[in-house]
Amino acid sequence: MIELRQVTFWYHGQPEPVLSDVNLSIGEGELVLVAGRTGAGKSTLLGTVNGLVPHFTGGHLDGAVAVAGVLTRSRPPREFAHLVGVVGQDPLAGFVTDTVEEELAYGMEQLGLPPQVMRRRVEETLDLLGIADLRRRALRGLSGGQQQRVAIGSVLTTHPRVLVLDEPTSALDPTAAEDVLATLARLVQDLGTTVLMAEHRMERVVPFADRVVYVAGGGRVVDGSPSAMLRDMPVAPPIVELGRLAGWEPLPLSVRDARRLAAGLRADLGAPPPRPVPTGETLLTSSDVVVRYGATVAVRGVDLDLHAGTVLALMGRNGSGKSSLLWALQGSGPRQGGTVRVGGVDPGQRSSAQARTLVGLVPQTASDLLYLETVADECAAADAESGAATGTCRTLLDRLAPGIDPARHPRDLSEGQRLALVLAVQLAAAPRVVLLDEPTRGLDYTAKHALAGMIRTLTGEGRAVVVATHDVEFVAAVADRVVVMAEGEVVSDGPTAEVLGGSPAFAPQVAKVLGADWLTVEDVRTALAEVAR
Amino acid sequence: MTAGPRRALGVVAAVLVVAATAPHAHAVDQSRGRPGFCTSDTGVTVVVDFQQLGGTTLVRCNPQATSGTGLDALKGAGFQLAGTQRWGEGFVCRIENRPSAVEEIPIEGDTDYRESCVDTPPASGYWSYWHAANGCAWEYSQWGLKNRAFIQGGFEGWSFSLNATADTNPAPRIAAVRPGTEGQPCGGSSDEGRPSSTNPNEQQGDVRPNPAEQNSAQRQQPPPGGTAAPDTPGPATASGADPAALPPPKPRPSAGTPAPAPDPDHNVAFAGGENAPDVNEVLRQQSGASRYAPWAAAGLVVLLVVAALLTARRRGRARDS
Amino acid sequence: MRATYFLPRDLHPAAWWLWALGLAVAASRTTNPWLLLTIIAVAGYVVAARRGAAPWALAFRMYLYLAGCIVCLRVFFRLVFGGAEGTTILLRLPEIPLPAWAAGIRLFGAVSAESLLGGLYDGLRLAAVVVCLGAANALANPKRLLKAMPPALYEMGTAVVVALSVFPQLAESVLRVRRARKLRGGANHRRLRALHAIVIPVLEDALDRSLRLAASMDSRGYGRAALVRPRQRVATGVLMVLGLIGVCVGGYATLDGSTPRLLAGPVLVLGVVVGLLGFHLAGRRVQRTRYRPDRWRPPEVVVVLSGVGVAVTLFATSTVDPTNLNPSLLTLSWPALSWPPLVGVLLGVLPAWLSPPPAPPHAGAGHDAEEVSA
Repeated sequence: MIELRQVTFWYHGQPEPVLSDVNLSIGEGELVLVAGRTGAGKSTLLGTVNGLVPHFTGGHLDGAVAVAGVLTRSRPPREFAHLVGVVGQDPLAGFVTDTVEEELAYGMEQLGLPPQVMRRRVEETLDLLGIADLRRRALRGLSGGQQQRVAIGSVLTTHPRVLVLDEPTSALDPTAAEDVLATLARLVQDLGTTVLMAEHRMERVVPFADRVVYVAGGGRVVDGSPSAMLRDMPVAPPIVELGRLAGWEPLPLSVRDARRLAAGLRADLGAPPPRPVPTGETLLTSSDVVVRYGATVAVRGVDLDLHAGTVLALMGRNGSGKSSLLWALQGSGPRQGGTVRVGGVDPGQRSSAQARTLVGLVPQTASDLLYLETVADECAAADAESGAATGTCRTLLDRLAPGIDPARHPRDLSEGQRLALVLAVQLAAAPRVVLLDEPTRGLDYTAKHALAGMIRTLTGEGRAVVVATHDVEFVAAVADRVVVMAEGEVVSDGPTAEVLGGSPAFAPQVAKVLGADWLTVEDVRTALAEVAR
Repeated sequence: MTAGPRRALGVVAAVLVVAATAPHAHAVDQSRGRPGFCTSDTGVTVVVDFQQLGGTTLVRCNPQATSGTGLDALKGAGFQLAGTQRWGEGFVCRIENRPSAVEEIPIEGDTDYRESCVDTPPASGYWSYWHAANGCAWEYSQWGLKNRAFIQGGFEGWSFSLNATADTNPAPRIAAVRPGTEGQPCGGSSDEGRPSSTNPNEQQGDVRPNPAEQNSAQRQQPPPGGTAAPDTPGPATASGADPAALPPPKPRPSAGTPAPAPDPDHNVAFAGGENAPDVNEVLRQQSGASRYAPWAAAGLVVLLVVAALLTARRRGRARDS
Repeated sequence: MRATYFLPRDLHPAAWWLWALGLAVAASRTTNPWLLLTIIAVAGYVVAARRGAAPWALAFRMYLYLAGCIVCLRVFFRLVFGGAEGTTILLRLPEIPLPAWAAGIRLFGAVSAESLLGGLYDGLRLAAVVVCLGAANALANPKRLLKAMPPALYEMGTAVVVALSVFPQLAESVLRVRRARKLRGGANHRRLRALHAIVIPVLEDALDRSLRLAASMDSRGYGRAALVRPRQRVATGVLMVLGLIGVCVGGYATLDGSTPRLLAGPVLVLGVVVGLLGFHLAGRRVQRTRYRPDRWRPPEVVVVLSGVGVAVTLFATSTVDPTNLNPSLLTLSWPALSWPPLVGVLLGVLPAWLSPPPAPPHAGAGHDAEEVSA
């Protein structure tokens, strides 16, 4: 179905090829998982399939890419619309029309399908994806998961023989991501479409995948069966890491498989590790916080205290009020009721310059804070804005993410580095409370690991950190305390093990395999080391 | 949704208030001016010649002894005039309700033209404006009626120009000679009356020469301006030329020696307008207006507005629930 | 037949536009306040009865405000500049003497009822036209109107739709970045710098988005052209250009009375025909279909007929009794009105009952869940 022969690709003006001498042959009906670190060239590889690379992106492509026998070199991407459907990370950016039904029909209109066929396929697709009740809704008003399903539906209506998905769930909460992935799995079963998917939540896809293509960086691409590939891929889901640690054979790819193999390990482990909840001084107290937008209540009377040296994870589905709460605590966002005190002062009453010395917030789209041409300029501006000594920001940045070239443009940094830069900019004002809104978005396993390290550095300095996130594994690794919000209210609040372990939706994989007391592979590793000693 | 109807009601109310305060009017206002020629050197005689429109030529005297504009002369003599909706009284559109809105005027290119007095009347059918000192020939006014001072003891003439060119504009068919002064020489001051303003900007856009003097090549009659005295700059530009670019009016070669008036014996029959019908009554008859239609309209407007408000409110309630 | 006629649905947008244009043409024919007020009331009632719940439908109120402003402004201008037409002086304001170069312009002075009424009638006429256009906007989905364009203009229509969707996104980005600026303690810095700090991220965001949208459109087949022979393409181009020239020449000749008549009507018609032919050819090579196109059914015909009916009646009656349509301000009196134009204008209200109600609103509950930062 898809043939890549000796494909080498450069972006103009870059010395290293993104892909070099790639040979790949994907058969009809296969589901292929494309894995690799952020920036390794996964998106580029996916883009070659319908010719967006190099027709749209520019650059130079050697070798041949053929889909269903048609060379991408011979035609522009639009002539592949009936063969290849592409779904990107941010569904909203790809929508052309403004209601669900029209969006589903858009691709078919371009292909010139007869009206009766269009009508039938729209209805079928609405049912297939379970979005029939949304048909007349405005696309902008849908939740992230719904939008992503519409985006998938909008390419499915043209009945493409290949479906290319570039991290379709990276912006979704766990439940919505699960929905989307389950839908895809069903499509593969029912329609026999060839699917090529890049996905960070590998653990969800691996069980269905026929093949894993690993983009190793430096242009190398390796492929093989999932179990063979996962054995020594540096990016791997926790369950695989657990399998590697325990030396399970064959390597389990799903929680079910792992659970069957885990009986022996469970017996070896003995007592779960104690998880002390550090209790530092209270840095921030808030009570009865209310945030409303017109008739919509985003935060409904929340009480929250933050303690020095602890990490609090704020969880809940999209739209549950997490962001609004963070903004209200920082003082820059609206707050219609309740009190917030940081060292006896309400940051909402202070000027924004003073508020950020009390509470620092890194917003969801962190790059909104950056506007200068180089990292050095940003740091200098941050020192000036905070009235800190020259070099404060740079020192912080080096501690968080060492070795960033000061002359680089902030936009050219990797997601993780950019996050570190924004964090350093905010920390230059020396706030004792740091709030992070969705910092794990777009980060791969390695970058998340680095972020966890940064957060530990912060708590080590006696700061209180709040992380709003969907990422259960990250929370399991980092947080001391978890607060789950729904409809603007706190629905559960407690130590991480208690909140995560006991919940089917939020349980990390290790907990699903070994029980509620075990949250991360790290826990298991230390416990095993204890036992061995 | 709610503000619109309220505003509409306000407008209705305003119309009613203004209309209710209006006095009753008659055709030739007999309380002003006198029928016939002026008999002395004070006042100005106003001649209105309907020409092809038909109807007896009217001659009335405005005994005003002070100076005034052509407009003052016309009104002071008791004539009823209507300006255009666009330019107001600076552009006379109807005199004594002629040409009325129901009258078909056979202008060039449109044989059943009706004058609605919304915009500038066409060049082929408009009221041309003339003046003359006692005993002199009529001269086509180069100034608008608001910008000309009338001549004491002289004449102001209005003659309907139908399909005429600059050369063939018909002068009023009443000689500018007061009875009893026949045979007297043309009395000196028949030059272009001093405009009330010396500003050339107020000059009408097209300098329309007196037919008696104009022998130049035939040219397309420019759009009217015979009565254009734009207090708004618009009508002047209707001639297609920038008024500011025009030179000030040329001194006339004949200004010092005006032509004498023709023999008054050739005057057409005229009247003083004593028996002219009430203009409002004529208007009502001509329009076929119904006494009840305005009430019906007002009622309908109120009804529709109330219905719209109710519908909007019902919809709002349905949406809330 | 009758059962399906009144099933709730959105009418073809062109039907509402034609209806509204009919009313607007009628309004432009008259300055009779009774007729104008009736036209405004008719348009208002039909909008109240038949508009949907979409955002563009709620903009009707804006048009009403605009109309009100127009009326006030017109009357106010009569008050300021030369309000002394007519004999019924309402109030005497001190006249402001102006220098010689401003001759011909009068400031204040006596204000007469006639001139105020003249301004009112004139303003009402323009206001009625504006309200009619507002009604069309409220009743017809502008995006569906773009969809109903001929195939040759499809690409342009899509471009307009995409451009329209950029504005809310830009506004959203600006808000987001401005809030983010506060987090850096910005806002009280030098103005230029603050602007820079907002503009750069917003533009970067907008560029990013448009690139992604372009990539998405490209991979979904936007602009797919069937194979066209070069000769056919040249023929289409030549026809379009010739048609355009014809329309220009014809239009000029029609408006300028001194050009030979032969250049006016015939050339204009010829240009339109040739242009349409080119359109048709260009449209034929576009192999694209429409999903659920708006269909032209009896209710659409009824709506259009009622609008056209209003315009036709006013044209017809204006040859019968123009006095009514343009009430004279010769002497102050109640504006008269006769039955035919009034009844004619009332034809316009028929769609309020004779067209199907709009489809139930597109459920908008999803908006509620949206978070500020979402």
